[in-house]
Amino acid sequence: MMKSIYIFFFFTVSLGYSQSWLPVQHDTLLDKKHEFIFSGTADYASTSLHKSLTQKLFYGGEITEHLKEKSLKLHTGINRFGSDLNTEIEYRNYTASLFKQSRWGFVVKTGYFSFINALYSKDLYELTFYGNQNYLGDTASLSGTKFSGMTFQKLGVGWLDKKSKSSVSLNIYSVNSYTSAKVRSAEIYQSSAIDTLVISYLGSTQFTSSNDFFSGLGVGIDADIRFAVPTKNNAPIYYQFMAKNIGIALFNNPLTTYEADTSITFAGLTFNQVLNGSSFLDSNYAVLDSLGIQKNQINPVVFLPGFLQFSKLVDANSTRKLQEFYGARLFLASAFTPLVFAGADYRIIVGKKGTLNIGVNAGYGGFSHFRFGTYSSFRIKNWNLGVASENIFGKTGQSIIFRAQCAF
Amino acid sequence: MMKQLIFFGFLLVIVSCKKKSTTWNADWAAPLIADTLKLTNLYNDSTLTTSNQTTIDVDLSRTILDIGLSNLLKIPDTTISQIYSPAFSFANIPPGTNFANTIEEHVLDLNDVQLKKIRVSEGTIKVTVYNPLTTKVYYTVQLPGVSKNGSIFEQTYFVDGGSIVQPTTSQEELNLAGYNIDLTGETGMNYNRLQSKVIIKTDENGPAISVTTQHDFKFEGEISGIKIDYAKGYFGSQVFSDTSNLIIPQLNSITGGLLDIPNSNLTFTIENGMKVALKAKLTSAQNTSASNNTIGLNSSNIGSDFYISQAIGNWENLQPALNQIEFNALNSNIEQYLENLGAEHKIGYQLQLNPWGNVSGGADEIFPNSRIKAKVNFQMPLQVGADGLTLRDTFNFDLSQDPTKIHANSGVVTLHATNAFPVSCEPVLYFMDENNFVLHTVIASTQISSSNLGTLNPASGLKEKKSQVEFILPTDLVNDLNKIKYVVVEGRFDTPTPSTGINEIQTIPFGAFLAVKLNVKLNGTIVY
Repeated sequence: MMKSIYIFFFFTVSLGYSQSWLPVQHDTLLDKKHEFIFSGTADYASTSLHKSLTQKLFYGGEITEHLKEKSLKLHTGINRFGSDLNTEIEYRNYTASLFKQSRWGFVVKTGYFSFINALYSKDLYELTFYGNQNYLGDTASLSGTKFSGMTFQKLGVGWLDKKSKSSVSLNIYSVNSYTSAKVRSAEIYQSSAIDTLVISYLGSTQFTSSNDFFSGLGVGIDADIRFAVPTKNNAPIYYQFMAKNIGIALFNNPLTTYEADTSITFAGLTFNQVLNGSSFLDSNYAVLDSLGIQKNQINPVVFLPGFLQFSKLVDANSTRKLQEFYGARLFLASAFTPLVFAGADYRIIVGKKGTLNIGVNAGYGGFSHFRFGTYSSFRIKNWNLGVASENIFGKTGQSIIFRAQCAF
Repeated sequence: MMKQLIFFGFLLVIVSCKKKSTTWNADWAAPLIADTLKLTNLYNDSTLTTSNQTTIDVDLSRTILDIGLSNLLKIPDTTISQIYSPAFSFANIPPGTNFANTIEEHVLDLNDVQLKKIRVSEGTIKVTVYNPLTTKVYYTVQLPGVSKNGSIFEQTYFVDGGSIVQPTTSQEELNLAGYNIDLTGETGMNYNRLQSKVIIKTDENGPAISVTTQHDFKFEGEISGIKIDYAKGYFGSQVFSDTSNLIIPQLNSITGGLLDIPNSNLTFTIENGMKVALKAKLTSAQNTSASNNTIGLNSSNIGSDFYISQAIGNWENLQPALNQIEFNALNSNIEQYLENLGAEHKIGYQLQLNPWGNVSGGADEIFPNSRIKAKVNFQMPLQVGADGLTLRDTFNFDLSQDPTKIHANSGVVTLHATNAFPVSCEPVLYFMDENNFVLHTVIASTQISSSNLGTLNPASGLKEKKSQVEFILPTDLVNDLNKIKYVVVEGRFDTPTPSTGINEIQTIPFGAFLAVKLNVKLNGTIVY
């Protein structure tokens, strides 16, 4: 099955039907009553985790020493990893007159989102995949590690400007699961004689105790603001400011939270502890107590992993066959650095009514460094289908984006 | 096109699902045990002593017999009864008339024991009086000779009127603890005699009544649960014989080899804390080793009677009389007996009170703190010579793992030892299933060397030798963790002399210790 998936991705991305960044093709002449947009994104990226290893984490299989070494060579002091998996359906109604304004329609959307964001040290990678024997006589630092993961669904309704295609929607969210961990400082020292283990730890972790469909409730907004900038000689340039999932969430039940500010030196058990069974391994409570870990229940307000992007759009009605596009993107996540991108779009007329757009793009930032991608989209009659990859050559990530638009 | 959309959506879902587990191997290390075994940890009932802070002596004392008065004398539950029936009928006796006043003696059945005086530490008397008259009657029950703090036992009951056919009763249970009982009777010359006296008086405020020969005025006293803490008299020529078991479970762990110990003495001490002459005899002594080899202690002292004088003094200043029987290399096979390393010792004995009869004229005395004790005492300098001496002990083991989750594949347990004992040890581990079948055997990479092979540590003043011993835990063994229910730890001990390599008796120095640091290196598989 996985081979089939790879083959499918390879053909769709590489054989000419993909479209980089899948820029929205802004068509001011489009005059339809209804529009459906289905989009899906599966994207993960890292500064240091080789995709061969990440694929094993996602799809299963043995991570061999060779795979571990390939990733180890890419690691530096601080490393980033993130994944964004989402799918969304949006309906735009151009016939209604919202609030009796003939220019205003409405939009309804729903979607599923899964987002992972991790910032970690090289030592954490080595401890995780190699164990602590490499650190005998040395100290492993886990300081600065941050991790968060959230899955949620969205249901939104909003305002649509029929002319500019801009929209703003108010959304409610159903949170499925949430996990967050912050290690402010943590060090593990193992003596070379393996007779002393010192752990100092200052940090916390919190998570939902179940993965129920409705573990929490959130509110937020999406915005898709498009505007034209006039030029002297050419047609106006269209820009888009897009915001998604800008909001907060609360949970139905308190989150289980573990906090610790402790330093532990363990040199081994005594014979009495071993023979009498009175070691700190006796019970979970004793473990937590002896390690200085406090367990609490709290109900915090958490931010959704919001998304912001400002970009120049491709004008579907331009007389130019070759157009440029560019922009900047930001996820509200600690491991995501601002990402800038740019690309070129080339339009080919296919037959009498078909239009094929192909393009290339490059970006820097995000969860990784440089990324290169391609895209293609095919437009015929009421349909516009596009497939893209934002990371087609990268060692440390993969990306596939799909979008289908139908206007009638 | 719609089909393609659905297909792609389905693909996205597929991609997000893990199809099988992710696994990788990692190598982990951690300390397990850090402790120091010292002889002070093994002190038990002052088993080990030192007089010069240089050498250690074994001073093993065990009490195999400890009996007191309650073990020698039992006062049976007894009911005493006294009835007064008038010889003549009296008509119209005026109110407040005393018409009975008699003392009766009741003999306690104590076989050949002749008690003159006792003190009760526990026990009760249930007093019941019966009134056959139709008017109220005062009953005063006295037990002459039964006193506490100088007061004679006396209880008065005012009993309602009854009838000859159905007399009215009054009943009360009284605690006799602390009462002294003179059992010499009214004459003061007898023994085992308990006295009672009943005084009957008609109601002072009642009518004049008639008493006939058919009226029985009855008193009963049920004496039960009597325990005494002092007795005087003649306690008979009772003979006690028994066999005491002395268990030294640690010796059960020895499965082979030889232990050489220096010449030592074994002493039995009989302690008589009673003012009664005593005859004693050791009837047998034998021990059985873990390998079921039984050896008896042969000596002219076995089976011979010896006599112990009675204690001297009274009450607080009582001084027991002692008699000791010593077994040494000259009069017994004591060395052979001890080197059998018997874990179970059986010592037979016989004791007889008053072997010459009642020669004290009934003046034997047993006080609350009077005990007859038999003690075994064994002393020797702590010197051992081990030649392949093999100790084995079995521990329960319950460490299962699931191969579909995080699990270990193989490992190495490393023992870092600093040994200050002049004893070397070659450890072996046996891993057994629930049927005690050995699944895996792990032999240590090397031995824990004797301190005699080490160097003098000026700080401790002891010779010390460091050893690093590894136990390899192969994949096969780790895979069988779920089957392993017992671990047998076996050690083969030797006491080599460095210059000759011959195992000889070595002196265990004062302060000897074995410092142990145990760590583990594991190769494990993470299953995610």
